[in-house]
Amino acid sequence: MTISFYLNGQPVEVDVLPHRRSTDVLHEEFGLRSLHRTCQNQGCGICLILLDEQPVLSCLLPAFELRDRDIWTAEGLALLKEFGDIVEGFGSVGVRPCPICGPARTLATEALLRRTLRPTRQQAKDTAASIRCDCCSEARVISAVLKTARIREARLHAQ
Amino acid sequence: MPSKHTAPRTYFPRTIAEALDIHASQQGAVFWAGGTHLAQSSHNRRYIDLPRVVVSLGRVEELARASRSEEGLELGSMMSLDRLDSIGRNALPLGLPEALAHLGSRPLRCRATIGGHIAMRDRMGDLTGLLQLLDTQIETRYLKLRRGRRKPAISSRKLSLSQLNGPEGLQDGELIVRLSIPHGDWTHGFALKIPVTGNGRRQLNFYALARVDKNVLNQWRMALSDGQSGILRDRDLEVAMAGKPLPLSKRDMDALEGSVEHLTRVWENRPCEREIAQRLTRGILTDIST
Ligand SMILES: Cc1cc2nc3c(=O)[nH]c(=O)nc-3n(C[C@@H](O)[C@@H](O)[C@H](O)COP(=O)(O)OP(=O)(O)OC[C@H]3O[C@@H](n4cnc5c(N)ncnc54)[C@H](O)[C@@H]3O)c2cc1C
Ligand code: FES
Repeated sequence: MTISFYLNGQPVEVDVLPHRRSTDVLHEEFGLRSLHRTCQNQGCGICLILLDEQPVLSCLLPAFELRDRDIWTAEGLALLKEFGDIVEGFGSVGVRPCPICGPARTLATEALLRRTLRPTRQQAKDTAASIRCDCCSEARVISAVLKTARIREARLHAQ
Repeated sequence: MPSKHTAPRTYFPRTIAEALDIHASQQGAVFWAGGTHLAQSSHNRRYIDLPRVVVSLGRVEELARASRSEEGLELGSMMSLDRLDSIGRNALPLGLPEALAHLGSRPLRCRATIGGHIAMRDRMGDLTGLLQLLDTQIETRYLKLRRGRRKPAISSRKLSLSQLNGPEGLQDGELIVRLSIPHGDWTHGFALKIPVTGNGRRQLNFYALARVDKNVLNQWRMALSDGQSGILRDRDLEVAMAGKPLPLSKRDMDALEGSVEHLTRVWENRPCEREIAQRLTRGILTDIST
């Protein structure tokens, strides 16, 4: 099946079986090394991507669902200025996620900030909890998400 | 399910009529909403084991529409649980924001749809009990051959969520198109999801709605579920509780506890669930009495 979609802002096309897991399609066919699979359909969140601005679990997404969609991975986000806010936000509270969960945390934070620039503590908590990895404490990730939101808001106001 | 290596045929209808036609013309076809439940049961590492024919509902605009009125919410079946959540606490019926917050993570809720949630056959979705208490109505469409016609025509059916979960439930090829959730005039709503075992394999969903005016319990509804053995609800007791002064008398409290004891008999080898259900009932009645 030939599937066309937008990947990190660029139109792409790939010939794959429709029931392949999107994580693998993006990793293997497009060389996007930020994508990992660490659980078997258990919702760990490590395979998170943005699909039409929404955070979704790519391991549960068959390739046919990519058709005509706008997909972003951490590689694409890293080229945008929004990424700088996240690096600064997480860095300023001393949170350094590991290479396995870092890309997913970045995307989950970005997804939240695209929904609201003033997330509540509960929303930040949900965002932190949506990625299960023991490398950093949930409380500190919550602070990092809230800090990133403040940085983002300040930058947008200054523009 | 076909063999794991058989690639499914996938269809992307744009209208309800197209979706029904494709489903009817392809043996073994399955509607695909968010796909989270269908994909979760696949244990093949490389592929998602899918039915032979998948009818993806993601492009049927009519199914994604939603509206709000004084009476309540009208939701297209393809509304994601995240979009439902984003309607906001003040516009959602009591208990629903809490129930949504307990359901998976945001990335799951962004894909999972309300239609898929209530259509799962082998699992009782966490929202089901509350949606039943709220008197949720369902509208479906299906194809029916009429006398004198060669081509089947689209028919519709309206039923309550309790009916959908019962023997009159969804037929093969029947598509849920809309849910109507009345606001009701509840003053208290509770939706609790209690993990019973550390690994999360066993859980108890507890839902209650109450309308209290001037220390009188004018309406009371309660549902329990373990996600597997259906919704437990005692409608006779709900009727009997209406009009009781608060705090409840010892006799009324005993009747309520007796009802929970009776209802949860199906969990005879699950003493933890039964004990939690009793405690929650007592706690909630105390809460609304103060
Ligand atoms: C990691 C993970 C965690 C989860 N956690 C929870 C949880 O905490 N609580 C919970 O309740 N559930 C949970 N689930 C189950 C979750 O998948 C469902 O609750 C979800 O709402 C299903 O919606 P869907 O749109 O993805 O359904 P799908 O998977 O697309 O469909 C489910 C079923 O409904 C049928 N169907 C779909 N739409 C229609 C329609 N419009 N008309 C007729 N039939 C239709 C499909 O054919 C299929 O049989 C979890 C799932 C995963 C993967
Ligand atoms: S790898 Fe996708 S949810 Fe764990």
